[in-house]
Amino acid sequence: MDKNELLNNEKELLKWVKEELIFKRLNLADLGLSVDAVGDTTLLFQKEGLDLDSVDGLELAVGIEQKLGLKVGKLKEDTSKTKFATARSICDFIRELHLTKSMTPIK
Amino acid sequence: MKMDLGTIKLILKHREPFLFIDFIKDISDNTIEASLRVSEDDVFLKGHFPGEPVIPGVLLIEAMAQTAGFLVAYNLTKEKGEESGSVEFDFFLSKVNSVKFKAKIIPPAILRIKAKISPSLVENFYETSGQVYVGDEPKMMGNLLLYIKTKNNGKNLFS
Repeated sequence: MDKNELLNNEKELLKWVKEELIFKRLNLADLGLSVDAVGDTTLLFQKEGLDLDSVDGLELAVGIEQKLGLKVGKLKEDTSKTKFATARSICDFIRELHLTKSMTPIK
Repeated sequence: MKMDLGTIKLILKHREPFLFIDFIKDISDNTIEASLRVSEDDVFLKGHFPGEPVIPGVLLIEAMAQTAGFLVAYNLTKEKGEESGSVEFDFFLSKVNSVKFKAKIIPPAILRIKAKISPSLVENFYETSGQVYVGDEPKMMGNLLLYIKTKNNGKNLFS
């Protein structure tokens, strides 16, 4: 599926975030996890969730830039915690980036 | 700009026998070339391998990490307007993305370690790509992720 199809299909985007971006890109199978471990609202960086670390966070940001051609930019502490909290919040963040990109600047 | 071992030790906290650069041949904002003289008597060669010394590939990764680490820490010190050595750093090798060893290096040898850094999307992380040469012959190339922060000033962005 190409990036435009993903960006215009909420359900497919969420599936891509969970299965490709989080599960495959972060090699979660190496930790003995199955793809079902990544739910829509599973906490990604909390101990009671997947307990990912900041290297994983960086990997997610790079994955979004590479696959979707969106500029994530420097992640700040507060934004990284909220925007990367769950698969669903990552989707919202991606759609926000896409929207900002497609808006024509007012001159 | 060239720098000697004394300056290297002001910036890096690594020490012998685990300091794997001994001279800086050239340094700019995002590139660096360092060197290391390896003699047949070096301690790690006693076991790798007895009677058949080969410089361990894992030490080339470390040498590249130290070279790039020096560049990041040197630049951060400079940006703060401080003297070399007055700012302390913590250095972590976070990820070895891809490394290829092209040919073995038999001592004695002078390694030329080149590295290029780019800041990553997350604060304190630096992407490094580089090569190790002996003479003009490439022996190793790789891509590493480093985490470098001034001491006691690091925050974990995600948790």
